[in-house]
Amino acid sequence: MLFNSQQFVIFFAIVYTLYLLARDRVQQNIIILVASYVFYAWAAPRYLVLLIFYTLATFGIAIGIDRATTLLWRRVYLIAGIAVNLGVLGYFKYANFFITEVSAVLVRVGFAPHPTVLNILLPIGVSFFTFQSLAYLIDVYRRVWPATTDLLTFAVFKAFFPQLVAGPIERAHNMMPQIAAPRTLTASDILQGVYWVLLGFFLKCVIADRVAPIVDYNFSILDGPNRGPLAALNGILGFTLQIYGDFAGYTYIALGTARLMGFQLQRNFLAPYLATSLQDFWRRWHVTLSFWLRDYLYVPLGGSRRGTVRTYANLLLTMALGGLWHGASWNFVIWGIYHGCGLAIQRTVSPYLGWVPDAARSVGGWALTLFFVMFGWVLFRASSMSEFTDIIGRLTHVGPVTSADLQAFLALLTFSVIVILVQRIEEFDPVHAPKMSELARPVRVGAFALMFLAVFAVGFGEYRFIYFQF
Amino acid sequence: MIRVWFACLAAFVVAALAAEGIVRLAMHPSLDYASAFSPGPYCERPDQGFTFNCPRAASLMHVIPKSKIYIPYQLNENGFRGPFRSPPSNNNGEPNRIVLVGGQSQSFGAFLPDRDTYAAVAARSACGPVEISLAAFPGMTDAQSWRIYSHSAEAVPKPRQIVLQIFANTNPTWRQEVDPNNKIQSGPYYTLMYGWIRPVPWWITPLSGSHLAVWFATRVEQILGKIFRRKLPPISRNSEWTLEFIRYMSNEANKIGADFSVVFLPGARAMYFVDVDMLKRSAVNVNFVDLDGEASALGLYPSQTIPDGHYNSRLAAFLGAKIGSEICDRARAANAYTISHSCQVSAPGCVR
Repeated sequence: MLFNSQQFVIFFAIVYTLYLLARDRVQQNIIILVASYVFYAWAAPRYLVLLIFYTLATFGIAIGIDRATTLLWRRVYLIAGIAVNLGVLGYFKYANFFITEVSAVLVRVGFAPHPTVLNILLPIGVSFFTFQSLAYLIDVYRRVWPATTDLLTFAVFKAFFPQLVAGPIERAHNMMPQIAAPRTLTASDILQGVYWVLLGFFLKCVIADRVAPIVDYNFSILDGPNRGPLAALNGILGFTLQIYGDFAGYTYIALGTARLMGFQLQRNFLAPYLATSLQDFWRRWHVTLSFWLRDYLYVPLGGSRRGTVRTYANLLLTMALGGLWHGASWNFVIWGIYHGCGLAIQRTVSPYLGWVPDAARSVGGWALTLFFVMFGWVLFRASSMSEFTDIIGRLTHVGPVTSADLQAFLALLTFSVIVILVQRIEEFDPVHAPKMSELARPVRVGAFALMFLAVFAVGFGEYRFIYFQF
Repeated sequence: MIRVWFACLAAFVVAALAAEGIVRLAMHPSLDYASAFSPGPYCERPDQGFTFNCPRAASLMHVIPKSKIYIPYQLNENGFRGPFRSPPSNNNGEPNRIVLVGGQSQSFGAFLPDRDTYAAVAARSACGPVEISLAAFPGMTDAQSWRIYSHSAEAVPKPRQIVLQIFANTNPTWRQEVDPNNKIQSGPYYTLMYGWIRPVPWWITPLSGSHLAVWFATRVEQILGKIFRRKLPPISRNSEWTLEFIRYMSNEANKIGADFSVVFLPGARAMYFVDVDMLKRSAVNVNFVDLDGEASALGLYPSQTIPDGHYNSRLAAFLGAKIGSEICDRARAANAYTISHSCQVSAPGCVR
């Protein structure tokens, strides 16, 4: 089920009413669990079986890890858990990719393989809930968090519908206590929840979906040679806005709906386009994935503790795998390596920039980072390397500039100003965001009215959330 | 307390103004490369209202709505597409026979390049020198198109023949639509937004200048429409008012001394549920051409249409040849000129 659909509005209204009528925490959790399964099964009911299997397997293995008396058995259980989770993810997400790539290599060395491409439909959100399970198993293994024996609590943790299909990638230490404890809803929670939901819809419907046609058009190589550098720039700038509006929009709707039910999810976006360095960017963009990669991949690989060369290698490997997490395609891997290289260069160069005044470093760092990130989005968005070379080629090629391109560019610039303003608000209080209940009533009325009127007038678009495919 | 309420009201007004700006930006057609026309093709003419025939307008039509392939079109200084003339080889020394084709977007040739419109094909297939003028505009009814033509009649050569094309664009209100004192779709219930005519719900008419208000009200009506599904109006009377309109047009043709034909376009029955046989029986003095029946029998309709229901080039070629033939028949009947030239295209229905 899509957040930006009338079905979801009706679905949530029903679920929320039942939730408020529930007498205790257990009833509330049952309602959430049933609602989550309905939510997930809406598009492809058969994958509900997969979600339930994941839940039971991870629940059982975590108890095994917790109760194992020797380190060896703890490791065995952990490896089994990782194998189950990565095995399912690998089958659904990467099997065809590897079959195709291995076949291509075999052809190059003279064999004539007849590969069978599997007819697999990727379960929505599989990457997200796999990473959530892995984090839970590793936390239990490290004794950071005890394995829960309450299946209902764990099932809700695993399937909580606001964050099920596209994050934030929650950790047990944040969610489990909230699920296990009685919840009290305050007016402040409701205000904050409504604010986040409206902000999410605003970013998705008013920014991302309205920019999407420009992006689709300018990234298409059909008729590409007839379009000039401004058209290519429109595509890149448009996607920079779209990807933020789309993903941050989803996240805020998730945060808001969860908050309306008394849950506090982790923030996933902290004004990423205002970052003044690449490292800063990754602390602000898809925060829960960045921290996951840091805690469960980069640090176990040795982080920055094993010398310069190993640090750079760890950075590259972590970012490459982070890229691959997004999808089984070389452009995601290259995008990850591209960011890994950027982080490595920044790490090398920044010690020599102490002489640069702070103001200049901030402005210059911001401009360079944004430019680097925007260029990277071309890799992320291009569906093939020829599409990537086409759009980059058009940037450097003198071509026609049409009035439609110019109009679109001016519109995108105006959207950019709106996005920067939204990110300034995001940055205002990185931990809690502006607390609506603490703002003066006229400010609240103005903010709510602005977002509600704009979202309602523009309406739901026909575009799915980009991160659903991951 | 009153001060707080006043501040809230002021904040709401400021927010609404900001939302107006955001909606104007977000719904700007320049963001939507995939719209059927880019930019919107309609304009306001003080003497006519909101109309398609904006003089010298040039725009793009996407060949298939929401596709990336588009064709340009250009209107002349009077706001008409065309005229379409037969090739010089048809010239037999006679003056051009001026034929006025009245209709709507199908007759206009929406999503077709000039040479593929059936007006162009008809001009090429006619036997003898012919000039076809179009009184046909997308988004307009047959009656509105006639009203626009009547307003600019002096700018178009006087027709010797009028071909009225019936598709699905005749309303029970056609008498108001042909009234030269009424403007087309202007007034409180319509507004023009970025070159597109938008209906304005009656309860928001004082704010019809606000894009925010119009879009907001439109969404409300969409939601209400889903909740309270309205019964469709009875369709059995379509034939009744279509007959009245045909009789009116026949009189108008008589007044200017032009031959008059009615062509039922493919889809007239399926889209409009018009009773063609009843009309034929009821207006015995009118020459009817049933292309709907022929196209359906040949399997050309609805198979040869683009996704939004407009005709593709193949169907337009068939219709053009048929209408070229009808023009020849009428010319022969009127003994208007000696037919000495053969048809210029080989197509079914072309009289050699």
